[in-house]
Amino acid sequence: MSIVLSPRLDTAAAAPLRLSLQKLVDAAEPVAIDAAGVDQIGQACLQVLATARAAAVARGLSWQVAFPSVAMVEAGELAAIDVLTAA
Amino acid sequence: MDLDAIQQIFFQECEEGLAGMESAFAALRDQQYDGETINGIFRAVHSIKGGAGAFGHERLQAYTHQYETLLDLLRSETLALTPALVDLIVAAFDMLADHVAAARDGGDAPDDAAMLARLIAASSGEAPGAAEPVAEAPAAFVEEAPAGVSDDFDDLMAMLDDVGGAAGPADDDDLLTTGAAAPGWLLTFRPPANALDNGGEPLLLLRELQRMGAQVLSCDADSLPPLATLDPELSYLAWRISVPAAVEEDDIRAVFEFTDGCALTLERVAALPPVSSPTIVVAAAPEPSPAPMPAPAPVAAVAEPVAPAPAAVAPAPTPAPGPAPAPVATAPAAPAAAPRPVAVAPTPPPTPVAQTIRVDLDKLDRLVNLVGELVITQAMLAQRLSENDMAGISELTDLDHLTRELQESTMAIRAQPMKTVFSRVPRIIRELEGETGKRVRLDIEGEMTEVDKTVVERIGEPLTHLIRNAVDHGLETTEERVKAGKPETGVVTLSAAHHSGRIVITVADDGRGIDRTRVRAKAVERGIILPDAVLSDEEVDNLIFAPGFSTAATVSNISGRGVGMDVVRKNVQALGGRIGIHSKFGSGSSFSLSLPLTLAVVDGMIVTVGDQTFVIPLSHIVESLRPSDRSVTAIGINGSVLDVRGSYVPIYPVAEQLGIEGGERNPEKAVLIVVEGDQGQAALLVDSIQDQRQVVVKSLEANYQAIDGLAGATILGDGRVALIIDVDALTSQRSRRPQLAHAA
Repeated sequence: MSIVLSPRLDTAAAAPLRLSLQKLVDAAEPVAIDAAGVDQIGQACLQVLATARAAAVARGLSWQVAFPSVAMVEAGELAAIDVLTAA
Repeated sequence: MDLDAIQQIFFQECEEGLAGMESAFAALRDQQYDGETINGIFRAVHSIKGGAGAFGHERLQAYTHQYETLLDLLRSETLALTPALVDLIVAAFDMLADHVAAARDGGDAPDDAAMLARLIAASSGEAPGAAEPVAEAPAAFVEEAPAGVSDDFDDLMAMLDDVGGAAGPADDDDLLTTGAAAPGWLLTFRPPANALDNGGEPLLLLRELQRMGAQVLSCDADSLPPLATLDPELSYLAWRISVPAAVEEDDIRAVFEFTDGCALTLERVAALPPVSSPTIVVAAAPEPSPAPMPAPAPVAAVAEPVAPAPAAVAPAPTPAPGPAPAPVATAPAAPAAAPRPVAVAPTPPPTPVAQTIRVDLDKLDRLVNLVGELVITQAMLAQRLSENDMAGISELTDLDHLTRELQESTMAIRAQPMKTVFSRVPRIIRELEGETGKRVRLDIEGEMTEVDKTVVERIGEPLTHLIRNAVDHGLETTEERVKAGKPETGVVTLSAAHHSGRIVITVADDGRGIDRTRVRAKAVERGIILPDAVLSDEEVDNLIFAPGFSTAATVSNISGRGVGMDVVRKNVQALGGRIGIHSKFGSGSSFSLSLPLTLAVVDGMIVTVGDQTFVIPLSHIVESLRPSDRSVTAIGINGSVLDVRGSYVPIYPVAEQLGIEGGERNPEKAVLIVVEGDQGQAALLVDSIQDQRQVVVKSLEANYQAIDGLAGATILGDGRVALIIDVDALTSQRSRRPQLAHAA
C-alpha cells in the first residue's frame, strides 16, 4: 500500500499524515510514498516524515519516497533533513 | 502497487524529463531561450536525481548531482551560458540518458569519469574543454576511477571531491555558495516549541536567510520524539547556519525580529565549517508497540491510499480549477513568526503542476472497445428507428453527437504528441555526426502533432532507420558539399502534420538525392528488374524498397545493418501506413510516411457492389459522380479512364478488383467514387451508394486473415458485416482477385 501526499503539507496536515504513517508502521507494511504532487511542505510534515522514516527503519520496514516534487526536495535541502533516501 | 511498479513509473518520468530536456537544448542552440529554459533542464535533472536516490541508483544519483551543480550555476547566472557550455551540457545529457537506461535495464552504468571531470571543471569556472579519453584525464583521477568503478556512493563522491580539489573548492557543494574556508557568521537557531502555532513556519526564516546567501550547515533533530509520541504541531528542530561575512549583523538579526522565544546565537568566525550531509533521523529508542488501530477517520492531508492494482499511481487530489496553489513562501504566517519583508531576490514563480493521471493501458483499451461497441449499437438503434419512420427524432441526433464526442474524447486520451518520438532524434543525429564526420543540422517541425499511442510506439524503429539513411546515404561529406556549392552543414528535416485524417511524417535531407542511374544498375545487377524494363522515375525510386537492395559501396556501420528499406516499408505498412519518396538528384530526398491517426474508428461511405456491402474511408474520397458517356474513355483491352474536369483518372471497378460476382463493370451504369491515394487520384466503380457513417474497424487479421485490398471489417447497423476497402492497395492492384469473392 502506498500513500499519496497532498499538494499542501502545512502544519494542519501533519496530524493526519502522522496517523496514516503510524498505521502503516504499526501494520508492519513497507512504506511507499508518492510525493509527486507536493506543492508546499512545512517543518511540521518534514518532522513527521523524518520520524516515520526512523520508525520504519527501526522496525526493518522499507521506506520509499517516489517522485519527490521539486518543492519537496527543496524543502528537505533547505531544512537539511533527509526524508527521501530509501531504506 | 508494488515498488517495482512505482519504479517503472519513475523511469517513465525519466523518459519524459529527458524528452523535455532535448527540446530545451534545441532552444539553447537556436538562442531562443530564457531563464525558464535553463530552469526546466535543471528541474528535469533534479527530479531524476531525487528518484535515483529514492530507488537506490547511486551511480545515477552521483552523476545527476554533478550535472545539477553545473546547471544550478547556470540558472543562477553565476556562470554565463557559452556555446562551449551548451555543448557540454548536451554531451552530459547523452550520458545521463545512458545512465537512466543502465539503471532501468540493470546494465552497467556508463564510464562517466571523463564527463564528471569536465562537469566539475566547468562548475569551477574553467572553460569547458572537448571530451578527452579517460586515459588523458588527470592521473590521480584515472587511478581512482577504473572501468569497474565502485558503486559505493560515498566513495564516488569522495572521488569527485578529489577531482574538485585540483580544480577548485574541495566540496563541490561549496561551489554554489561560500567557500568552506571563508570567514563569516555562524548562526544557531532553535525555534520555540510553539513556533508552528497560528500558521508559524520556521522554514520561512531559513528561506529568508538563504536569500542573503546563508547556507544551512546542519540540522539538529535530536529532540524529535518517536513517531508514536510525536506532537505534530510542535517544533523540534534546530539548525546551524553559515552566513556570508558581507551580511550585516543587524540584517541577520532583523530576520528574527518578529519571532518570539527563539534560541539564537550569532558569532563571527574566521572560517566557516563545512556543510554536513542532510540529517537522517534514527530512532533513539525502540518504537512503542503498535497501539490499537484507531477508528478510520478522514485523512485531510493524505489522499486515499492507492490500491495494489495494476493501475499506476493515482495523482494527488487536485483542487477544482482555480488559482495555483500558493508557494510556501506566501503561506500565511503568524505575525510572531513572519519574516521581515525584504527586497532581495523575488520569489520564483511556482512551478505549474501538471494535472495528469497515469492509467493502465489495458483499462484504456477496454474503454476504447466499449466505445466501439457503443458506436455499433447506436448505428443499430438508428437503423431500427429508421425502419419505423422515427429516424428524425431529436434524441437520436443527440445520441449521435454524444457518441461521436465520446469516441473522439476516448481516442484523444490515447493520443500522444510525436515529440515523444522526435525527442530521441537529436541524439541519433549527434552520434551520426561523430561516426560520419558530417555536419548535420536537424530541423523539427510539428512535434506536437498528436497520434495514437500505438503508432507512436511502433514508428520509432522505421523512423530511426530513415534518419540514419538520410545522414549516411543522403547527405554528402563536407568536402563534397563544398564542391557542390552547398553549405558545409547538411540539413535533415523531420516534420509531422495532420493531412486528410492521417498523420504524415516526413524525413527530408538536402543531400545528393537518389542517383537513379545507379539505382537502376544495381537493381539489374541484383536481378530485381530486367535490363530492358521501362520504369518511371517514381518506379526507379521505389526500387530501394526492394528486399536486399543496397547501393552503399561498402556496408556501413550506420545504415547498412542488414535491415533494409524493405523492412522499413513493411513496418510502416503494418501500421496501416504508406511510404513515399520524392527525390531530386543533387538536391536531396524526402521520405513521407502516411499513417492513420487511429486504427479504431473511421468515417466511411457505405457502398454496394453486387450483393456485397463495402465501406470506403471518407478520408480518401474526393467526390462521387454518375459519369456521362462522354466522360469515360476506354484504354487498352479492359481499362478506362474518367475525365474529371480535364484530368484523366484511371477507373477501378471494385467488383473486378475484388472478384465480386454480379457487380457492375460498366462505368456508365455505375457510380464512380473519386479517391485520392498513394498513386494519385483514381475512380472506384461501385453499384450504388447507401449511406455515410462512422464505423468501428474490426481487424481482419485478428478475426479472419489479412486480405490485400481490404483494411478491415465492420458491423453495420442492421447487423451485417461490411468490408472496409484499402484504397491504396486496391488502386495499386492490376489483376482481379477471385479468391476474395466470398471473404465477407
